[in-house]
Amino acid sequence: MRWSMKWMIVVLCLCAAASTTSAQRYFASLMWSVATPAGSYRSFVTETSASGIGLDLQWWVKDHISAGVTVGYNMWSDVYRNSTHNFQSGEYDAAINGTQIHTVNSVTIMASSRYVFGRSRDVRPFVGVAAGAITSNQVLDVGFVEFNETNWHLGVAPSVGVLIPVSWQTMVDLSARMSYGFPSGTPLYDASTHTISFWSINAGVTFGN
Amino acid sequence: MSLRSLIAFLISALAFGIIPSCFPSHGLSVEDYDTVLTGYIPETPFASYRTFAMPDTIIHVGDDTDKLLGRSYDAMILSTIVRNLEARGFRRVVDTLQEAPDVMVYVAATASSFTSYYGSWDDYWGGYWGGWGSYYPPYWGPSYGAVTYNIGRLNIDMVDRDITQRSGKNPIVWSGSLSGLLTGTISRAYFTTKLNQIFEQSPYLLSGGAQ
Repeated sequence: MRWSMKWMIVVLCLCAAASTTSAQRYFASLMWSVATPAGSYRSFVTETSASGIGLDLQWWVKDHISAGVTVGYNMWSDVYRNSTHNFQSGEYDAAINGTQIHTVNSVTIMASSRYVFGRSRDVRPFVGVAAGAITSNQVLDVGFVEFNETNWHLGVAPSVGVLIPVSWQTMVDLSARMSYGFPSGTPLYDASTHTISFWSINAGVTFGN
Repeated sequence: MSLRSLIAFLISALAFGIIPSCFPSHGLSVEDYDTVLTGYIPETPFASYRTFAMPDTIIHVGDDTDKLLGRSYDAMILSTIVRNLEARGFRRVVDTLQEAPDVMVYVAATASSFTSYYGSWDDYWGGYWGGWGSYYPPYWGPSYGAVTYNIGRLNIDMVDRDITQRSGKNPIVWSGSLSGLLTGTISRAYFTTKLNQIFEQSPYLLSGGAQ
């Protein structure tokens, strides 16, 4: 709950700042993110999740090129009944069977850049790339037992999208992004290396110009 | 409120009102909290074991266990364990004075009551839309309560008697347990299924007598 409140305060402050400023050299996109796991991560979670949010702060560095910061949060939670999880417990090789809830919380913090086609006031397609960190917090609950692994990954996230003008300083921001975190840490699923990868569709509103 | 402020407000509401509501509850039932846990010491020479002995009583651990579990399923539980071990090549030794078994198998059970306290901020909306109609406004405030639940656990330990006589090593070479909330769903079929699962997820547990 405290975590949610912190995010709420931070993003509300950013929204307020973005909606009241008269600065012309940057734009901020607040997005709802729908994401589906990809690659080996589908061994742990498979369902597409609408529990995601993203914030993209971009400054214009040239006419068509912006650079800034991309942050985001995505969560997946799947249930698997009558599943067995193998693990090590002291000197024992152990296995636990039951209804498993697999949850992944992932935070993205990346430097990002966009190349935006077209001119101001037009519908403007863009391509983007981001690089930085992706965290993966894997939680596996079985009954009253919980396994938890949190890792930081170096990651990249190319994207394509479009900015659709709505008013003088407001645009709709639609994009598709592939996020990939390079191997790090230990998976709670049957794989030799632990990567995180997912596709996301992001839709939101951009303030600024 | 300007258009931009309005949009900012709406997006914030979207982010913090709708998205959290997407978090799935999974519709879990009491049975979803049942677990079957097994473990073994990897270097254990299970194939060298031929015989086992097992007391014909389930040891009850804790003050509440007799009251919460009773003993109506004891005989069925013990016979299911014996049947599974015999299916894996183990032979039961009944008179340990006549023949020393390779391993001892002990079965124990424990049950306890727990009380959990909770608080909620939204329960009163139900009253507003319920029988009292709109006479009373919805009340935004905390509600508190407590729920008591009983948890039971059945444990099976296989002890290597030779290791017991040496020092410094763990004599429990294999262990299996089932645990969950004690409710009306407990039945003979429940125990049979869960006990069979203990052995199904222990494929290494094969006596030399099975070969």
